[in-house]
Parts: sequence; structure tokens; C-alpha cells
Amino acid sequence: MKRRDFLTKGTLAAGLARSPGLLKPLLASETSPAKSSQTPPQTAKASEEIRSHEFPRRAQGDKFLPKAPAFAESYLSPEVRISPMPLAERLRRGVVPRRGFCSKIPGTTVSEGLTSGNGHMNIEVTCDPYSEQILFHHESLLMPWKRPFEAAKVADIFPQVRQMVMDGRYQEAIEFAFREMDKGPVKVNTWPHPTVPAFMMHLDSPKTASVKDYLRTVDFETSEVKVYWTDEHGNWMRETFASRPDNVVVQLLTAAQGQQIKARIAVEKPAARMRMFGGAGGTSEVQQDYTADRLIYKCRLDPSVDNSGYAGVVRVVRNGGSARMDGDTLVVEDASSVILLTRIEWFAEYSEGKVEALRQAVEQLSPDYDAILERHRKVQSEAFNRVTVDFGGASQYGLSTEELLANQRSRPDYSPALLEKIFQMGRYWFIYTSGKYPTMVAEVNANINLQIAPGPQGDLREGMDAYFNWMESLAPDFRVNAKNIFGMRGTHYSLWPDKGVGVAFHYSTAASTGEIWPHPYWLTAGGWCCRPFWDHYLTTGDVDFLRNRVVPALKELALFYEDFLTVTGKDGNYIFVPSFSPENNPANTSPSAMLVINATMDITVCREVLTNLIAACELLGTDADSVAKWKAMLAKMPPYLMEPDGTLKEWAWPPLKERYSHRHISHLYGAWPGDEIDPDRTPQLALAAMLADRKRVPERLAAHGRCHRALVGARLKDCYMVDTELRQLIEQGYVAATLRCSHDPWAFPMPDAQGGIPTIMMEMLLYSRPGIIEVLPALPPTLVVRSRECWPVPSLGSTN
Amino acid sequence: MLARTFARINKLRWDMEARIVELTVTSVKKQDITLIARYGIEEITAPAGVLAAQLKPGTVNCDLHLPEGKAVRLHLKLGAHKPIGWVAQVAQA
Repeated sequence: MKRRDFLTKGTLAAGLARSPGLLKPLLASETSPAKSSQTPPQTAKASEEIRSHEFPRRAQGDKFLPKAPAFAESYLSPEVRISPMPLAERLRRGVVPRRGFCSKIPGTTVSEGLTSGNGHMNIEVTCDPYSEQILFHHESLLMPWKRPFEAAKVADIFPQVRQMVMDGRYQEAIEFAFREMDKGPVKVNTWPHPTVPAFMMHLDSPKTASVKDYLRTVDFETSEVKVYWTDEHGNWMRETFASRPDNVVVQLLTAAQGQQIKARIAVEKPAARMRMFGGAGGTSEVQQDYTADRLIYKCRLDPSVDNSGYAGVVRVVRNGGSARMDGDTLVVEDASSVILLTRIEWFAEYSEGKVEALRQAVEQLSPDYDAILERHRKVQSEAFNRVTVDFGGASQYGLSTEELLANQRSRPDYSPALLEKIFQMGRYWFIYTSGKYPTMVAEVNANINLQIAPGPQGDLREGMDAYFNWMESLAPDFRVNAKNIFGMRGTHYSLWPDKGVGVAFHYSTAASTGEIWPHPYWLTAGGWCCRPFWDHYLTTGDVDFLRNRVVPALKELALFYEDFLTVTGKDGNYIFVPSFSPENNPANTSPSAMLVINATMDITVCREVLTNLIAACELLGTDADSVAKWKAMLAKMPPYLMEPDGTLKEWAWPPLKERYSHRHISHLYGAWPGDEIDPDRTPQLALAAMLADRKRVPERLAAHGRCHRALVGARLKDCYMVDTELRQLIEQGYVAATLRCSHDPWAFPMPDAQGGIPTIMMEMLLYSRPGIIEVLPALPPTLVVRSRECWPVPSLGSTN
Repeated sequence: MLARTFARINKLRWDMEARIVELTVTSVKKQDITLIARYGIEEITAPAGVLAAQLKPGTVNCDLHLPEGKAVRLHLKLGAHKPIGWVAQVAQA
């Protein structure tokens, strides 16, 4: 089949033609052969037309068949008709970054925007030619909590709650506990405070009826986001990036040849819906101090709580032309180019003096786009290129993410370029969200762990250092959690840690389903949060890190377990009571009865904490008395249980029945991210875990569930599970054309899979533990049996 | 990428049609490790002193001496086993 035929038939069938204007430019690329030295891109071959000539005509001859589908009138007559840049033109101009991607449709909202960032600040850019929206973020803009603020003081009822659970009165126990917790200042269904966007910038310019050669790109090695288009006045381009060395977002607006910039620039308060978890937080106080040379956006986050706030200074540097204010909008006219330099700073104690100092600092910056970019490129590319992948994606150079995703959905194997770009985007995202704080959104039990997951193996050391600092900074709150909720020593980590907040504040119910999530009693967040500390030691061999940062954290967890593990069964083994397996309940209890006994995950994580602590102390030659005590504790761990068919049970407590219909696989922690289950050391347990992984039927389509199942599959050498879940993740709406991932298919960005998918790729290619390196443990079959032309020689490599 | 055994994987390259894997690894410290390829290792080429013992062709594991801070390049010829084959073995045991 000729490529033109494939495009007209295959792309429609594959859902590539998402909007009316898409197909035509693609075809145009075929009628305008590329004059480029680039390797011609390859797409998957569509199946040949093997129906007889007459058959389709006969099949379509029934006059009562449905009419051909049509686009809504609003789609056919947009305000500006945008046609993508054809592939041949992309190649001719060389505008697609080698390590980066292009997209041929602008976003309509910032959630569909391309991204750049420097750790402290990041931006989402829709890349609309005439009505640009740029949402600015700063990592520290957490809506403040009222202090003092600590976990509910319910330690006095813990023995009663424990006894009720032991008696099988599961629902009654948690309802009683929640009533007691709710008597204090931290109420039931207290949600996290949002980290709010700083401000929205609108860049509007005079529109034309149609635009052609539209393209937007991201360069992972420079952090640049660019948008290209051509209208009746010529070829236009805007470019922007966030610099790490200069701590500034730089935007460059360049006029088409012989044309001038005419732009209206507005900096405004973002819409409330742009808060990811918008239920909590107060009312901000905003001031706008705008002149024709700079726009200063000032905000006190919640003056009723404290004096924290921030300011964003946008410095405007014109090349020629004029500028004036029209109300709160800056109007630039007849400039040949404009540079906007933006810096945002958060202040624990807001003051006008600090804002003025910020303004002066921005004023000192040299408005040299290329110089600032070059300083940033060195830092960015070094971190980004520490680990690279090559699946043969050069063969698809130039294809947009929309085309690559469509290609992926219509081929039996993997699009090599798409795999590479998703891996790269994970690194890019990890780097640009790592500043004072690491990347973090949502909960430990499903989200944060995956977001952090690629760090140790991926040598993303700056972000991991931010993670370690953040976790350690919350230890005082974790100690209070242990004391207030359990009356115990040591630390008890919270479900939902945040910037400066380690309080276990979240305990929630859902009236619609009857679910009660007993998160304050979840024992295992601490061990899970400390796992990356251990992995950092294993990947670096940094004994000082082990001594000074791993061991102290594990010791505090061990101290908690010493106090908690006071109930034993007739067999002399500990009973973990109460115990919670996120976020599931046994099949023979109600959804309100999640707080039960001997969650497998609780046993696994306790074993891991003690095992690693013992290993560390023996290596360091310290704490001999405690080591003996911890070994005695390990000897009293209850055994894992199996179902009659050999499936690993989620609760090692015989009366509790399995409920397979759930998105989490908490009981498989021992395979991943833990490391005590594998076919060599624990074959029977590995088989039980594999059955449990295979039998899971996610009742919701959460990305974290798919990632976790794939990662457990990789550890169990289950290439089929890896293949199944990886394909679902990259084909079924978890990865957008922006290469940003979502928690639910086709939903707003949420980065579970952003970290999860690169981790899957690393784990399927290489497994390691002390003394072991295993190559290709779970290579998906279609990466093994590859088409020769698309898969020259896949490789994974890293540079030193 | 980094490995959880105090080592850096400088390069991993495979061609499953030719049944070939190339691995370059640099250890942070002098250590003995076991290299696993569940397809079976038919042949292995390594610098002098790295192989702890002569390979028994077709086995899954191979013991290596890794020096400190020196890149070691390994070349493996793989067998035809499936990595997931352990499942049937355990189930039948």
C-alpha cells in the first residue's frame, strides 16, 4: 500500500484523524517531498487492501446504513483554522529536537500544555498562536496550615480499638476511632491543602483566519518549548524555557520577517479549578503592580493563617516599538522582538522589601536569550543524559506525538520512538520538578512512590537528595504521629506528606460507597518512604549516607515496631493488629471494615525495615545489642498465607477472604519495590505472588495500579504482564500528546505513570540486588521479535 | 543506569535475533557478583580474571569478579529458554 493510501485509510481507522484539519497536511507532506538529509521516518505498515474491488461498494450500497459521521459545525468553523506543519516541512526545517518531541495541535487548556521548569518554577504553555496561555508555578506555594497542628490525640483509645479489631468488630472499631478523632481539631475528611499556581499569563495578538505549518516542540536537553506557525504575514516563532542557573523563565517573542510584535500581555489570578486538590485552603490576597516595563504580581497566600506569600516579577524588554498599560493589560506595539524575564519567589514572611529586592534582582539579569539558554543547557543536558535509551527511535524521527500514539495503537509491537520519548519525558519531568522539594503529588501508598521510583536507578541524584531532605524534615511530625495516635515511640509516617507537613491529618470516608479509609492506622508509609534511602545506598555504595541518613530513619521505625508488636498468637508469632492493606477490604467484610489484621504488606514492610537495619548495622559494626533484638523480632514474623489455589493472600489471617477486584496490589510489595520475593530465593512465594498479580482485576483504571502490576511482573520475570500493562499505559489514554501522564485515562495530568513507566522500562531490562545483576528479566515479547527495519539494535546505555 | 549492587551499568545492548547481549559494568568497589540471564548463557566473553569459573554452557548464572572502578565489558551468547520458565518448574516441583 502506498503511504498516501495508508494515511487515508489506516489513520482514520486508527483514530489518528482527531479533527478535520489533520489529515490534509499529512497528505501534503507526501506531495511535497522532503529535501532533507534526515533519515526518512517509518511508520507501521497498514495491512494491504485485500477486499475485492466490488465488495466495499456492495457492502455500502444499503441506503438505510447510518449516514457518514460529521463534525460539529463549531469544529468545522473555528475562529482560527490551524493546520499542522507537514512532516516534510518539519524535516526540511530541522525543527524537531533529537531528544524531545513535537506536537501538531495546540492545547486548549494549560493541562494540554507543554512544560518547562527549573525545579523551583515550572510552566505549562498551551502554545496557541494568537491566544497563548502560560500557567506559572512555584514549588513552595502551599496554602498554609494553621499552626500548631498535629495528629489527633487518640492514643488513649488505641488499646480499645485494637481489642475491637481482635474481636472481629472491624467496622465498629474504625467508626469508634473516627468519632474520637473527629472530636479534636483535625476533622474527618480533612484534605491536603493545594499547592496553588502562581499566576496565569495571557499573550494575545491579532488573529488571522487561518494558520498553517503549526508545530509546538519541547527540547529535553535545553528545556525549551517552542511554537511555530505561518500566517498571511509570514513565519512566526515563540520560545520559552526555565533556567536553573539564572532561576528565571525566559520568553522570547520574535516577529515574522518584516513584521512587528503586537501583543497584549496580562498576568492574572488563575482560575480556582486549576488547583489539583482544591478542597482546602483559604482566600489569597492579590495585588498587581504593573507598569509598561515590568509586571509585579504579589500574593499573600492566606492572611488569616500566616504571613506567607510570594511575588512574581515579569520584566519586559522590547527591541523597538512601544509599550503602554491598558488597564491591567500591557500593550506592546511594533517591536521586532520582546523578551520576558520572570522570577517567582516564595516568602515565609512576606514584605514589600522582599518584593523590591526581587524586582532589583530580575532587573540585574542580562536579557540575552542565547547566553541564558547556554548556561542552562549545560546543566540540563548533563543531568538528562546520564541515562539514555535507544530502542531504534531514530527511524521515526520527526513524527509528532499524536502520530506516534496513533502508530502505537495500530501496531502489534512498540513504536520505538514513542517508548524512547516516554522514557525521556519521565526524566525531563523528574528534573524540572526537582528543586528544594522533590516531585510530589498526592499519596504515599499509590502516587509519590511511583513518582520517586526512577530516581535511584536513573541517577537522578538532585531530585533524590531533595526527597531525602524533605522526608527528614518531617521527622518531628512523624514522631508526634506515633505518640498521638498510638502512644508509641519512634516515627509513624503520614499518608499524605507535604511541604513542611508530616502530620497524619487525613482520615476519610465516602458516603456513596460506604468506604472508610483508616489511614492514620496505616503502619507502612514509613518503610515505603525509607525504601528509596536504601536503594540510594545500594546504587551508590555511599557508606556515610548509610550511617548518617539510612540507619537513623530505620531505627526510629524499628522503635515504633518494638512498641507496636506486643500481641502474639498461639504459635508465638506476632499479630499485626490493627492492620490495613491500602485501600482494600476483605471480601467478607464491608467496605467500612478495612482496618483488620495481618495485612501482608504490613508484615513485608516491617520485615524489610528490620532486615535492612540489621544488615546496615552489621556492616557498620554498630548496635550489636539492638541487632540481636531485631533478629529476635524477625524470627516472630507471621508467615504469609496462600489461597487453596496457591495465590498469595492479601491478609495473613485465615478468616479474611480475598477481594481480587481492586486497583492496588499492596500485598506484592515484597516483589516491588521491596525485594524479598524472587524465583531463586523464594520460589513458592514468587509463584504465589505471580498468581496474585495475575488474578487482580482493577475495579478502577488508576495508572498506579497498572504500573505496580507491571513492576511486580518485571521482578517475577513475567514479560507478559509487563507487556500487557505497558501497552495499556501507553496506548489507552494515560499518556497524552504532551507526553504528560494521567492517573485516569484521558484525564488531567497526574504523574504516577510519569515516574512509573520509565521505572518499568528499567526493571524489564535489568534487575539487580547486592551481588546480583540480571539482564533482560522481563523483556516484552514484541521487543524480542521485532521488525527488522524498525528495530536495528535496541540498547540501553548510560553515560558517565 | 545504576544497579542496586554498588555498580553502574555503562551499557546494555541486546539483539534477540542474534541472541547476543553486551553489558558494560563498572563496580564502585571490588566485589563478586552473579550474572543472570534466564535465557541461558551459551557463551560468555570477559576480560581476564573476571570469570570466577569456567561457564557451563546453557546455565542461567555465571559468577564474576568485578574490580573497583574499572569498566568491564561482557559479551553473552544467549540460549533459547524463556525467563518465565521458572513458573512451570516451581509449579511442577
